[in-house]
Amino acid sequence: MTIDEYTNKLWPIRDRIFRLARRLLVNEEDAQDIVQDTYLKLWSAKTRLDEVSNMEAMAMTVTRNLCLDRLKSHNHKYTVYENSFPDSTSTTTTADNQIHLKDLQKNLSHLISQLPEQQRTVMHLRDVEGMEFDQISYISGQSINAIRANLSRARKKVRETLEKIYEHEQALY
Amino acid sequence: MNKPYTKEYILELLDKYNEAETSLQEEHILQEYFLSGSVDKDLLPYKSIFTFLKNEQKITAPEVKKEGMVTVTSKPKNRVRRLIIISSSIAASLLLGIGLTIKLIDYQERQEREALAAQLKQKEMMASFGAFAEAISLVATNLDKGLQPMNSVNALNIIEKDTTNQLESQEEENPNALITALELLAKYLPAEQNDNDTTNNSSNN
Repeated sequence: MTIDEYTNKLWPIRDRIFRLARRLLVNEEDAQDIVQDTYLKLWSAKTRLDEVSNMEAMAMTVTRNLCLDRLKSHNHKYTVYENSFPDSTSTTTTADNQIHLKDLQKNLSHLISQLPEQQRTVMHLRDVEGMEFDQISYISGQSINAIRANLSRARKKVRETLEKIYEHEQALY
Repeated sequence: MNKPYTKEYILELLDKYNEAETSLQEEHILQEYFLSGSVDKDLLPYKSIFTFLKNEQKITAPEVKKEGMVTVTSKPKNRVRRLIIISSSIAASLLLGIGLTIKLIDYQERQEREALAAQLKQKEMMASFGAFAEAISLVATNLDKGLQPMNSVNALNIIEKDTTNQLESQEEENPNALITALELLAKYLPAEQNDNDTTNNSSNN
């Protein structure tokens, strides 16, 4: 694999790699490190990459494994990325509602980061990256049935928690 | 334009969604629906979820890392280094070649100069030898000239000896021998001398 092939195939997916690392490590700086480490690891194995049919799935697998290694190490710091949320795209909400939504976004992020790693990975790959189940299976090493179960649990957990927040807020006003 | 989905259809999709049984296309329909505008109050939690997920999709890797990646996987840097090495080797060999050529030309010139100098020296030597020979020949000529009177002196000595012997022998035999001897001497004397004597005598007179 030449440098051009490597760049053309792998450079466009750097945002995906970063988002997965960020979701798993919940730390912006560590996620940036993981992106670099992923590209280094892929470059060092470039001779074997020619045999890989799905380069993107391979890169995401490497990213996940590196993240899990990092989580196991004692150096990992847990910091919540508070400033990294874009504002709501909705234009119909009032100023008060926007603040309310922003808080909800923070809560949602925190909520997802509390999910077990497998549920978190599956939900991220499906709902954020829009991947098919076979791809998620390749990356996470889970069977498609296990993926469905984990995804269902994650979605239900998030929805139930949000419903509670909404009920609590409605009770206040 | 949003497709006019009924709430029933959306609720049906949401049930499938919670069981992780929706297709990617159906999930896209849900996302479009919840992001397109206001929804019923009971569906607000879903609006928050799909808004959150949409925002997550917009997150990009920091751009500074791109430069970092380029330097990490830097083959161009190696290429530049190789180019520098090649160009400097070419420059070095060129310099070496030029240096050697200059040295060779210099050596040849020096050889030619030395040969010319040797030739000149030889000519000079020949010339000086010629001058020396000329000088010697001049000296020899002058010496010959100088020796000529000496010959005369030698001749006089011989004559003197001869005459003395003759006189001695004749004196015993002939008392007029002295006169004879003087006449004999007068014969040997060069004519010039006689001339000079005559001129001197005449001037004295």
